[in-house]
Amino acid sequence: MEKFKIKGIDHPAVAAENGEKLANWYCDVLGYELLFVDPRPIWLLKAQDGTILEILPIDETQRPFRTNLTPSWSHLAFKVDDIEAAITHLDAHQIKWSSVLSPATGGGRVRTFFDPENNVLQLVERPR
Amino acid sequence: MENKEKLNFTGVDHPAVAADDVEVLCNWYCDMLGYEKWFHHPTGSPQGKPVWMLKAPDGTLLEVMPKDGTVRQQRTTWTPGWSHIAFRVSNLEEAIQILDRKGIRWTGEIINAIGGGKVRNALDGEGNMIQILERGGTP
Repeated sequence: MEKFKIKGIDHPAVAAENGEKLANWYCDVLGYELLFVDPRPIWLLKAQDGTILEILPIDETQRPFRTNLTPSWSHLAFKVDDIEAAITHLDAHQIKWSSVLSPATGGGRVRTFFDPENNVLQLVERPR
Repeated sequence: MENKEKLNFTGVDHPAVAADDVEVLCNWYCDMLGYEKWFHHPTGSPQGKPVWMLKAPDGTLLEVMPKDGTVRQQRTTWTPGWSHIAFRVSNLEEAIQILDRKGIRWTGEIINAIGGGKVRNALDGEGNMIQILERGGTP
């Protein structure tokens, strides 16, 4: 098989019922910075490590019911240096948690929560 | 008083995809996009089935988990929720030529990427939406 390598992830994308409100939430609560706004409107947010998050407007289709393991894109995990401090920070923002602190696949610890539109997110602290 | 304290957050650890067949989809990402198998948990899912973590050259991870009993839902790019993952390449035209020879399923032509560069939409081995993207200028 011919060798080919992507560089890595440019961005995950989420379609939002209220894109501006969701973009502000990711900036205010998770620490993203606004990188670019397209007039459609589409928001690009940038994390400290340069990874991008794209927030799209929705069309007329309904949000599908899904569990964490319904086939297709499931969740997005964010890397933090200190997961206890991150949990304390998110508790101050009334985050809705959906798991307790657990071992992470590949090492470290993980806890699962929801953004304001009920998209599934995770905090992950990897071993140093 | 509004809480303006910043989270000690560095960026994306991984997106995760639930797969009809974990082994087949992992092999697709490795063979097609150049991911490497980084970590295997033989009983990592709630049902005790295997979970794979794949690693890209830039160190970003992709988690491939086994599906549960729920059914895959129809969605457009703009259906509320997680839509797609865009993968960055250094040269889009070269990537398209190679991926064509590997038999990727494109769902559109090259278009301008939001924020700069160019992008082409495709499907992964199970029909999940992905993008192949070359950045130009900012960001």
